[in-house]
Amino acid sequence: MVSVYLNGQEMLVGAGSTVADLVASVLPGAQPARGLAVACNREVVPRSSWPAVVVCSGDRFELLAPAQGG
Amino acid sequence: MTGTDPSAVMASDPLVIAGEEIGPRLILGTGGAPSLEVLGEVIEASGAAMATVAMRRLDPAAKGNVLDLLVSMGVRTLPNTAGCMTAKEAVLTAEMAREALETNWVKLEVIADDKMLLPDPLELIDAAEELVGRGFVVLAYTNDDPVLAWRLEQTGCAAVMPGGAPIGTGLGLCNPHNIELIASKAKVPVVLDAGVGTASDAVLAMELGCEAVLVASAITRAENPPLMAAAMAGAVRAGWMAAHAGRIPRRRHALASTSFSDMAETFAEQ
Repeated sequence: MVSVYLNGQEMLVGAGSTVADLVASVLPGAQPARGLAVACNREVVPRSSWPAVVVCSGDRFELLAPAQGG
Repeated sequence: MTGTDPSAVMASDPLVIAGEEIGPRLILGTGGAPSLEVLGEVIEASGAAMATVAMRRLDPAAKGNVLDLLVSMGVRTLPNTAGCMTAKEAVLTAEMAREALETNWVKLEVIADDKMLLPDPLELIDAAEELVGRGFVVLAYTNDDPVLAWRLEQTGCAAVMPGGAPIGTGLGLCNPHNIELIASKAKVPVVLDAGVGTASDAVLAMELGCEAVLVASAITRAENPPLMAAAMAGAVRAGWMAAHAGRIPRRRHALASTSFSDMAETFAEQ
């Protein structure tokens, strides 16, 4: 297991987990085609890369979505 | 400008930003609406074709979402960088919005603190330069400072959005002279943003030469949000038409609209 932070909360994920796995752990089942964005350590991870990017211990992820505002 | 059909005159000159026709000149801010149901009523009543959204941490338990509502109602989504206090934060938020919403348009907000919510000019310019360089279409929320607005235009912003008053205050246009200066100098659309309290504020902004008005709190936090949305839509239209109709000059003394000639002999003169 490795320890990462997702939206400020520490969580443990299996070694070798990808960003896609991380998103699926929060949003199980079919995910919306639009409206989600992931950053890892302040860099955007393009959606097309989610299945390929393996998370590392200590990574800080932000999973954002549109909300009412402005 | 002449024309016998006011609606046709307005329709012949829709709001255009960065070469894209937006249409209606009321832009809606979605913040502050008590529910998505009310927001839907507001969108319907406002006739707005573009509405802002913020980017926030996902709430997996949330019921419904604002994006689905906007898409279902055919409203264009304009992501913002609300809450960002540095250029670095704003650029990352804009990049996240571009990834999530597949748009390179962004309403850039970089505020100095969470009390006044006023733009930080230095961070704002830095962020605007960076985002324009990265290919974003930047609509910059700014102070009512004509020089800063001009600087933002020089960086390549597609629109400048001066606040009439601090966000959410409803104080109206505290410095209408500056708004007029900004609007008269700008080569890009000027959108009055922030501070609007009621419909007359929106009318004044348009009369001063703004191309559009963005309203959030004044509508979403009104006692009857759909009614205020309709009022704002009418106000923006009225202001635009008045601005283009050629108002009469202000005069020191009265000027009768009715001729004094051929009046009947009065009792006083008998």
